[in-house]
Amino acid sequence: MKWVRDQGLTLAFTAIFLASLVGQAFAGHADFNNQAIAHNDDTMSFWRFVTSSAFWVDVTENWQSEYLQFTLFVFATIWLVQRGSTESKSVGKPGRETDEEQKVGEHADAASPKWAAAGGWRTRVYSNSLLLVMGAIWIGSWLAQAVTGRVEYNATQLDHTQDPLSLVQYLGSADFWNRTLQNWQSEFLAVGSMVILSVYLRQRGSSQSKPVGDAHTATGVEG
Amino acid sequence: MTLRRRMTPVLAAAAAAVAGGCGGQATAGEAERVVEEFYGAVRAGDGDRACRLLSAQARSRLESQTSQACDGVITRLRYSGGDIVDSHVFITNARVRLRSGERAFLGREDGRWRLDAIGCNPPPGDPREQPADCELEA
Repeated sequence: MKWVRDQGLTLAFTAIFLASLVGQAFAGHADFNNQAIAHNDDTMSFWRFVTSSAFWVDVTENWQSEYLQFTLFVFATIWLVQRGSTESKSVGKPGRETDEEQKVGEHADAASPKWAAAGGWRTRVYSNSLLLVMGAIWIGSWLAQAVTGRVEYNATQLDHTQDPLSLVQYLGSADFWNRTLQNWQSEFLAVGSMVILSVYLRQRGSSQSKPVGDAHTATGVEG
Repeated sequence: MTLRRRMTPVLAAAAAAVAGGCGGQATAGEAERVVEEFYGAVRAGDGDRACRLLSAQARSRLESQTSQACDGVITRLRYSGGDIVDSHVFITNARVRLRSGERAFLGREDGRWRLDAIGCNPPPGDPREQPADCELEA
């Protein structure tokens, strides 16, 4: 039980992620078949749908924007600050900071991760591991969006007796960029909102909020 | 040589892997066979067999436009025909292209490929942006 409590955030969000992904599969399957019936086309089995590009383009276009959001935010918060925001480090500490502040190499302590103390390429990789992994997932899911989006787009093209697009052509298409940018704008809005709202608003008990009584100018403080 | 492309479902976002193979799913080869059988029926003057390869909607459209039974008119439409050059399948839609430039567009009906549009030629403009000019279209 202690383990469950200690991992509560991860477990809770994994559970609702899986529930909503399954829900999306059912809703998407019903929607696909409604449109197929309207076009006098064959309907598709549930299993066939969840292994098709029709499902995965809708999944991956959302995943890529989420991981872009985290990638950019992790990167931006190295250099940019927001006075008063819980999402920012202290105003006077932009940049990668010193080895001592980051507890790497000789400044690592007994509890530090091994690669923080190892030095050399291991420490360099580990020092950037969050950005590297978030960025890799973003690129991978964006590529998946492109591949699956092209398949779905071309299905519509053929339905209209129009020629299909190659992957390169699809990357320059309005459909690809409409899917991409409609997701990006919402992610950037969410991050920007959180950055500025956390300056002035409070949620007692949340790690995403300053203590209720903290000053608006208090920066990088958690509740 | 016939070029074939298969529809590829994507398995996971992070890997962006594309899985090949359809294993029971609709294939380009099946779509090509329908097109070959259709043109064979037209050459043989077998309107009944040709009509059975049309989608219900295409057949209905032909009969309403001509006010004649499908098998009496299908072999008299204008076709260029020719060898199959390539085919594409995307989810439940397929296109088969012939050496003459003519295209056939197919959809899935009752678990089989059926012709939604036949005798289609590229439009004057970009064929990716403009619909084809078809002898028959559902």
